[in-house]
Amino acid sequence: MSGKYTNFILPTVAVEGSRGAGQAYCATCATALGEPGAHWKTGSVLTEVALADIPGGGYDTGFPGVFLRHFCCPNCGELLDTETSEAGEPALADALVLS
Amino acid sequence: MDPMTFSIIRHRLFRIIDEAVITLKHVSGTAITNEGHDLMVSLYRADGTLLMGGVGFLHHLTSAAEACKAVIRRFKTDIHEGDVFLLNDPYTAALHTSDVYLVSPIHHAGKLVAWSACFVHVSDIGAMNPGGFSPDSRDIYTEGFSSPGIRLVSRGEIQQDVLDTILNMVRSPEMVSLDLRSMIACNNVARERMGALIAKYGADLVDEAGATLIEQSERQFRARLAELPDGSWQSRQYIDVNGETACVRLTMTKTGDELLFDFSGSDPQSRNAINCTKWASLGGLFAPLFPLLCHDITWNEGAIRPVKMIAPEGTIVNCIRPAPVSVATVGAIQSVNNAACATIGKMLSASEKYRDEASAVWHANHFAIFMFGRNRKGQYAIDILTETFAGAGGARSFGDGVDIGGEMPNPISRMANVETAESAFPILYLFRRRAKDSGGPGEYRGGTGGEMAFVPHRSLDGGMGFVISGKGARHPMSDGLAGGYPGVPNRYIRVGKADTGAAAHLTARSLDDTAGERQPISWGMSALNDGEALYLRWNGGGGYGDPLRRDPARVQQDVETGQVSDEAARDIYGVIGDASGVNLAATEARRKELRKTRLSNGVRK
Ligand SMILES: [Zn+2]
Repeated sequence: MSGKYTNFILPTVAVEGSRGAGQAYCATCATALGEPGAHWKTGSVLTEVALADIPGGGYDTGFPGVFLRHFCCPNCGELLDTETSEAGEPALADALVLS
Repeated sequence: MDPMTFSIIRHRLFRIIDEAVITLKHVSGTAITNEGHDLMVSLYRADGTLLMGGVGFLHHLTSAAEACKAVIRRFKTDIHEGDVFLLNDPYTAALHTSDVYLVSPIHHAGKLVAWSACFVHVSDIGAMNPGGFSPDSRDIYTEGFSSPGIRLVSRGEIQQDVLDTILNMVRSPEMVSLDLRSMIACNNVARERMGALIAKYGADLVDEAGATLIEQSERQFRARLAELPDGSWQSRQYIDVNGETACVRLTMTKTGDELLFDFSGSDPQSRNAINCTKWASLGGLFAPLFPLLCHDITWNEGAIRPVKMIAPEGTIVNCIRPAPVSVATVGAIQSVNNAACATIGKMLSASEKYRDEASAVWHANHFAIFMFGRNRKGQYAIDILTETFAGAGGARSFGDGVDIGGEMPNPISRMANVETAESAFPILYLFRRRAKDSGGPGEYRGGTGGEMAFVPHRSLDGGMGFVISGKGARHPMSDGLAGGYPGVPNRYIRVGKADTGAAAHLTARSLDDTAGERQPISWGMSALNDGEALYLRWNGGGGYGDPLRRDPARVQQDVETGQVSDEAARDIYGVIGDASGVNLAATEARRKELRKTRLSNGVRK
């Protein structure tokens, strides 16, 4: 992952800028994720996979209502974050407070 | 104070707890204590604040402080040398009724100078269901004996009437008697050793060392927090039991040298016994905080001061009496453990300095199965299946999670040998092993969980009863970090009698080998009859980083050792190989294809 950043929300997501106007970037390829000040997940590519459809079968519970969300970089396809979620849950919103 | 003396006293306090834990284990007779290490011993200052946190289940460290303070409030000046008080009311301080606190004042020259406190999960507490986890309970009144503070030992003399009253309310009085006596012995050892320490150095110097330790911990912890980035990190943890889904939601905010854990948005308290009280939530968030953020800092009041919690009243993380809470330690408290582990892990991973100390979520869902019934000698037996403590480690930024690696809230958790369970109960294990595909995929894989199955064997009553609780089997809970997948969810299946006879399951070496009807079962009290089998799989740890970054050779090795399936290797890790090794060109092409698929199948937000 890129060594050009100093501020990270997660190891996969860097951020630059000041309070309220931070710009998030993919830490791998430096692609901007969303608008400045917006949450980085708004600039990601989301794939929601039902547990039963995850390869290997280990996640299949026989219950259809739970998903594994994959948030990926729109440029390099890096998997930036995952979430276990039921349908309609707002995405988890991790954020830095920039000085 | 003289740094050498300070250091000696600090180490001596550690060793006092170690010796008290050994005593506890030697006197108690239950597998949950001796094998699973579902226990805790700590030392507290005269006012009940945490002086030196010990090992065992760390979510008890702050709750037992509250137990000491509750005893001080209740008994005021009527606290004497040699007294031992029992407290297990969850709405006063305890986590659930069956985790019984015994707290003992420590006096020197007639003056109260400290407290020792310990707990074990007693064999039974007289709740609706055997073993203390009581999934059928709908209120605290049906969760067994519960005291907000009672004197069990007075000036060194056991209060036989009190003890007999307690033992009269539980299913296995002889084992509960041993449990209580083990805790009395433990506190006696702590008191004697503290007495020797004070006799050598003087009460004032020992107290000064305690105060200095607390100042030191606060200073060190605040300095660490100040080095971490300011921000907010979120987690959600589902619980799905008895037809109801509930969610614990956490936003952890770090500002300067302080941490705020805000559980606003968590679901209302449940009719099921998965709720927990506010003391339990506070303890629950500290359980991963101590090892992750304070692994090199003494666990005491100083490490508690920089932390604040918001847990709205009436929610699953701060329920109102008489809501049932008997499943709390494997219910909402464990969800709090997991959520705090996830948010602390994210915060650490956001710091280049501390990234290597981050961890994905470890083993996140106890199955908490208590077996009960007559053993082969005709005696009533009741105890937990200790595999619930076997756990699985979360992956880190530099390495895989430890397979069957224990759990974050208890640094000394472990499971018993198969033979121990087989000698305690009329059961026979068919297999017990690491479970394929259970560890969360990632650049670094989560530790694998395990799978096992057993059958009743030479039972006098045609089988055994069991109580199963925990948080259900529909949601992965060991969250991944930085793109890692979560560990797989738990799975519980009762396999019915096979047409080919009662002994049909005896040759089974996997769930696929069993022939009877499969019934998923995850909550409540049930029977396991002769000819039936119970299959259990417990969750793996969360993974770290994108699985497409994992070293292909390690994926291939996991396939060869049975930790990862061919399908997961190809379609999650993008690794193509066979017995001769990894096909690097095919792997590179497959990984490229999977990255492309992510972008073509996904929704651009
Ligand atoms: Zn990228």
